[in-house]
Amino acid sequence: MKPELREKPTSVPQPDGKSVELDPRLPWPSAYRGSQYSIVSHEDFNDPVLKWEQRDLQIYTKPPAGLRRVLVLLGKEGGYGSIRITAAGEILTKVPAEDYKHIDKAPIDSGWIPVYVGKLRGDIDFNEVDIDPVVPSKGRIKVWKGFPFNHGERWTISSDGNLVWKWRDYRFESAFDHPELVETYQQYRGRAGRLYITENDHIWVNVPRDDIGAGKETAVSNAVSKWKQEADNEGDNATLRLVNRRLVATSRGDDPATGHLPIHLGQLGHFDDGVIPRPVVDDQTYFQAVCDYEEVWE
Amino acid sequence: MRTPDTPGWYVEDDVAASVKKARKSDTPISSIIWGLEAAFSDDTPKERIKRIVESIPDENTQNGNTDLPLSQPPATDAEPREQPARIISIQDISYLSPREAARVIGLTLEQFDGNTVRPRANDSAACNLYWRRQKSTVGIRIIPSVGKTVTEDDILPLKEGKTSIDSVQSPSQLAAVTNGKFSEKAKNTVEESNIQWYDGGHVEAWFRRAKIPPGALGAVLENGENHQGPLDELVDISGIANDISLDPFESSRVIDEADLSRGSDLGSPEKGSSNHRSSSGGESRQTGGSEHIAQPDSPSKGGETGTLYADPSEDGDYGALDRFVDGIGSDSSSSVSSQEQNGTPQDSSNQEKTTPGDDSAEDESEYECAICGATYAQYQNYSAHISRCTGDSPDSKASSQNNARDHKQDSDYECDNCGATYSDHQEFSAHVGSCKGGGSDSETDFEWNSSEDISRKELLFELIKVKSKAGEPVTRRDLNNYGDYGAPQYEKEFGSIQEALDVANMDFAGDQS
Repeated sequence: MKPELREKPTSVPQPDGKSVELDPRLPWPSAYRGSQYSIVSHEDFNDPVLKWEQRDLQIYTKPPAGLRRVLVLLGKEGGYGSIRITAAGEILTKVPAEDYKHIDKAPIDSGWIPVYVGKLRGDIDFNEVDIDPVVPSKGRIKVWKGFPFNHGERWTISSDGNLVWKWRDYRFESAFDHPELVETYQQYRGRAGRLYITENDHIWVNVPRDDIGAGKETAVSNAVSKWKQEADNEGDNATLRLVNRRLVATSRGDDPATGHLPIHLGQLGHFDDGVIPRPVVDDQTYFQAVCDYEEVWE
Repeated sequence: MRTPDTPGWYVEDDVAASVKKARKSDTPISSIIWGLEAAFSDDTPKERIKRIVESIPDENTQNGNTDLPLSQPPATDAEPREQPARIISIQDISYLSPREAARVIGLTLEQFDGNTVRPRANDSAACNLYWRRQKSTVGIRIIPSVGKTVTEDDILPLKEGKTSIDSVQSPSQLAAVTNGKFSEKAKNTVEESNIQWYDGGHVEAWFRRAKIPPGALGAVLENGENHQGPLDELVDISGIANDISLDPFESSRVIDEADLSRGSDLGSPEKGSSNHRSSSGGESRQTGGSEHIAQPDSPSKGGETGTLYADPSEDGDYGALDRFVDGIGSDSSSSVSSQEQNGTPQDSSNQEKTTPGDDSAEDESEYECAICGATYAQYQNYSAHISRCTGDSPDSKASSQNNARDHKQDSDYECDNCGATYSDHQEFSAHVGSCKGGGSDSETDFEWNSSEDISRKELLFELIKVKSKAGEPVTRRDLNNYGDYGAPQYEKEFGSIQEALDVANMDFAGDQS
């Protein structure tokens, strides 16, 4: 199904076990997070395109239908700009406070206001890069073939086994428990680290070769060998390059082999009855901080 | 030499004729063998002589061979196919040294116009070919490439080095030429410096027009090194007819830029169709060792969606994948685990930053911290951040990490940079100081740990200061006037000023010293 924006409300967990039903175009009362894309005008394309980018890597596709229109209505000039897509498919963007119609509803009235745009329906298709790859069977893993940067909500598994969303000094735990997800992470990764959840519910993690969970070395090794053989046979240069870049980006020295391998753990449906992790923002100063920065770390 | 035992049927130096003559006179085979044995003066074993005799067909048997099936009619009126005239292509340049490639391209350019001069081997000029045209002299830097993108570093000598030699009038025009392709950064650099560039697509166009035969290639390679005059004195080729002798510098490329990294299947006109395969279209590349993957680095006109554009020069060694697998479970002294036991866990940050090239960011963020990548729409906020990020205030990044941990209810201490956790605050503090990025959210932009890296860090801080005083784009003079470190320091540390400014995401105005 071709991707499109659906202007429908979403439920956002709040402190003290509450939640709020949020209509599109209203200020986003939670962590600004998710896969990062931009709608841009590019001289080599006749129409505006949706871009994923990491340093020199770029790939373009058609934006979800209806998205630009709503962005324009929100105050984004030309309907261009950066968006985030959460694990629940919520599309977020930031709108300059002075251009934002619903500024009276925002906790902060200056800077860049995070706004809920609507929900993504359908799949964004980047052709060469499969961001919705075949899911490994339950209990198994694959090498992650999607984008290994700027892709997915970035969570942290803390050493005490909690799923925490962090940005700078802010730490927001998920409103729900995710014991199966955490346990699976811990099987493959000995220490605390990041876990990414994409808009297609895929979960991927980074695994350094020296910190693979006990007894999972063969599984990782086999996953790499199989993936590489398939990629070679199919001439899938894009995935070879992306995984290579992940190793390069996370390596400590000149040898990419010391980097972290992106591993596909599965989809949310495999864990904890498919509950989507959602951070609860319990520190109001976060909103001031996030409005101060157009580009944020997630 | 005949001996008394040499039989009468023996024909000197022609064993086959001897045997046939003996057979005609019905000489028994044993006698033929004995006769040959006597005729040979070199003690040839009888068994060998026997095999020789048996292997010589008699005339009747030979006639029978006409019945053997043939792959084509025994006779045909068809004219043999004309052998295609082979001409050199950009493939032939790939494995030549720059000086050799300069001779080949020099010979090619001479077919269009004028003559060429090559510097001596001990000349330190950035140009390795001077093309003396009718009204101008062009200094050319030839950069042969084997599937590798020509980078800015390859170009810099042309921009910053000596471009003239004594024996040639100082060039009025400079050009960079490769059989491969240029990175975007390299192209920007040459264009900023008013240097022309021609990639494999252009060079192939020149070759196809000049039609240099392989013999001529061999001649200039073998005899051209010490030849001082025009290269076409060494070869006998017809040149290009005047009516089609267009200016090669104005000719269009015949191979798309996006197809130039594909390596071995390029450069041959006969294989033109294969040059346009999609990079994902079944082109299988083994990625063992350190091979590179071909990929266009930016959209061409009428760009394609769904194509991953990349600068291949940014790729890491593809053999790393194999080494990653080989290293699984190995107990390396430099391993993450062992270092973590020493209090310096290696779990990387895995935190991606948005890149400055993000078009959407252009209209929404003005100032980006060169240290941690945080961006600001307002300079006031940016300045406040800089003072914190540089550690001038107690609210520095590293300090704030500790503060944050102090406020934590949890018992663990987690590095914001790499996610490593500690139960002991002392260990955590030690880690924060040594962790890559020192609390930076960047991935690998900076290495802070070594003394060398600290110097780099300081240099970057200075860039921020220079920018705040002098504005952008930053010039070489600005670095010298406003920074604590002069331009040469940046060149030493980063390779060039441009590279340093790239790291800091600042624009460079060029060498206005």
